Amino acid sequence: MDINDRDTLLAVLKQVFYRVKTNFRNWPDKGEHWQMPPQDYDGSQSLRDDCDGFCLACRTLLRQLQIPNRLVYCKVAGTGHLVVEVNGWILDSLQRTVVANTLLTTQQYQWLRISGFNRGDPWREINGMG
Amino acid sequence: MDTDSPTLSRRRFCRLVVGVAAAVTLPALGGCSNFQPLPFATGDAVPAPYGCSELRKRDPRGDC
Repeated sequence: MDINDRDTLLAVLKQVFYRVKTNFRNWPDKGEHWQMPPQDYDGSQSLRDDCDGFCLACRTLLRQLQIPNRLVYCKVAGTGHLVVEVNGWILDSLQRTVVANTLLTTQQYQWLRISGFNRGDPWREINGMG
Repeated sequence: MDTDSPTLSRRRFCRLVVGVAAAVTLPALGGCSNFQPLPFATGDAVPAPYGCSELRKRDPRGDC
């Protein structure tokens, strides 16, 4: 799989997105409680969580496919929200498919902080795009 | 039948308005709009969100 090929990458990202979304039930938790999916998670298990659980599930599958990805903390309508980013493509529990970050900017997403590619990497502020 | 009656003219006008509106909005709703992803420009290191910090402490698998 050549993830440097834009079309190939987008197709794989959509597969991951739909695999997680199919068995995911959005369930807001109290406060900000992030939870990893089960250790043997492969997308077939049912999950009940909010945006951070969705992101960590996507990140787990992307890591299994060796696709570098980052978490992005943003605000939507004044509320904190988490998405996953791969080369500017966004996997977001609020969306119906994988979309470009530029599209979400037009939907009033405010990009604030981004993780590193690996666990424990420092988070960095986002100063814009391009 | 008088096809130029005011009523039919209004109908034609309404059809035209609806058609133009559909032509403008349906491509966007159908995902045909052409938004290209751009890399994020990043700056200084900042604290991780609270949920991430708490996850790292609680779960050695915490991937954030």
